Amino acid sequence: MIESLITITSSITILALVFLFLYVKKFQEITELHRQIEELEKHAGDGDRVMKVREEFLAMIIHELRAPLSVIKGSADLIIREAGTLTKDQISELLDQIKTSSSDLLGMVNDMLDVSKIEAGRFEIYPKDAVLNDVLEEEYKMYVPLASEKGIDFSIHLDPYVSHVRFDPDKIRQVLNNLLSNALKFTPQGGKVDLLSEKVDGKVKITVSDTGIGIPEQIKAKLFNKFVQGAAGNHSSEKGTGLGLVIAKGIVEAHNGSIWMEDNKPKGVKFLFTLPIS
Amino acid sequence: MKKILIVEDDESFYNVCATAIKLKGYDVVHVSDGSQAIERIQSESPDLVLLDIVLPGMSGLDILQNLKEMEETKNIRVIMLTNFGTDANVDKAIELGAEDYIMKYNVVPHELAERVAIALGDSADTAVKFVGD
Repeated sequence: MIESLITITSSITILALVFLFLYVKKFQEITELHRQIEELEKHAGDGDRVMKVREEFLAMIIHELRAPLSVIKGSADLIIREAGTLTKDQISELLDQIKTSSSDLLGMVNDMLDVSKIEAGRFEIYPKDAVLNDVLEEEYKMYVPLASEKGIDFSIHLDPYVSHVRFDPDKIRQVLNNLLSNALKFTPQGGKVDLLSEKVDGKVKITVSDTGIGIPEQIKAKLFNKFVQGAAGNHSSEKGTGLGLVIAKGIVEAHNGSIWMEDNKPKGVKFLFTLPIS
Repeated sequence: MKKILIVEDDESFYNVCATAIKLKGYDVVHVSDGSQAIERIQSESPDLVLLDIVLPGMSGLDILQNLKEMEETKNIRVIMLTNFGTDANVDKAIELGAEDYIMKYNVVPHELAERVAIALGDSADTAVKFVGD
């Protein structure tokens, strides 16, 4: 009985938190939607195009918000109503789902906040003297289990001369997380993902290359724009706001670096970014 | 035991639906990829299909259309799962022969299970309206 009560209470608490996050996210997205629409109306004057962007935007927002929320609400309803009937394992699984979906929503909210700060020029970084290769190695180690689970050959090649750079380790980790998780997500079993650092012309260049499904031509030019999912994954198993690369660009540029994409011959893509050596 | 086949690519959402439907005493089969749905429906011969609209491989509407065109599957009852309750997809699904639709974001699991039971004639509450209630 006590266990059920704790279960129910924790569900309700999480649910309340999620509604709060949802509110913030919705506010951010609606603000952004209005901004984009205004911009389009100003520059294009093309009613049909404005309408299409508006519809696509709303559909994306609704879908992204509703998918994890459906799981949270449904799981909590089941636990509350059926606490006496469900097995301990079933309750545990439903609670795990609530937790994971809440994290997904929180991630989306944080992404939205980062983007709004980047756009408003209020995105702050805290650079310090740190060993970039150590950060790369830690990130590499973090993704080894996922690569191994997916049957991907994942390796790291570090240039010992690039170790000392001034950068914000947390933010650069965020960039690496985005690039590495994308590379592993879109590379099939038997593929290869490489993480590389090298010193080039007074800069450090970091490369994440994969042999994955690649990026459609029409998407390439706007890859670092908002709400573009390169791998044409318009279904609910491809979670995300499509903001990861927008944020990565914001972070790298805040370091006075640059980020871009190249084809990885014969297959896949490379994402590269530079950081100046201070 | 009657069999419900759920075509849904979101594993967590599937789990919510499946748990509620199993509690009602039905057997549940899961398909996550749209491109495998028709083949599995043919081999499993479920009593009812819960069908998501946005799916990888093949859309729920295309699957529905195929099911309704084939003699062996045209009488299987289909309830659509959707995130967009008022859009053209739902009208199209009803036109193609879906029994009912359920809004995913507003799902109440025991009510979903009840609507499955109603569609199968297993519920006393047959007065409940289906579409747009």
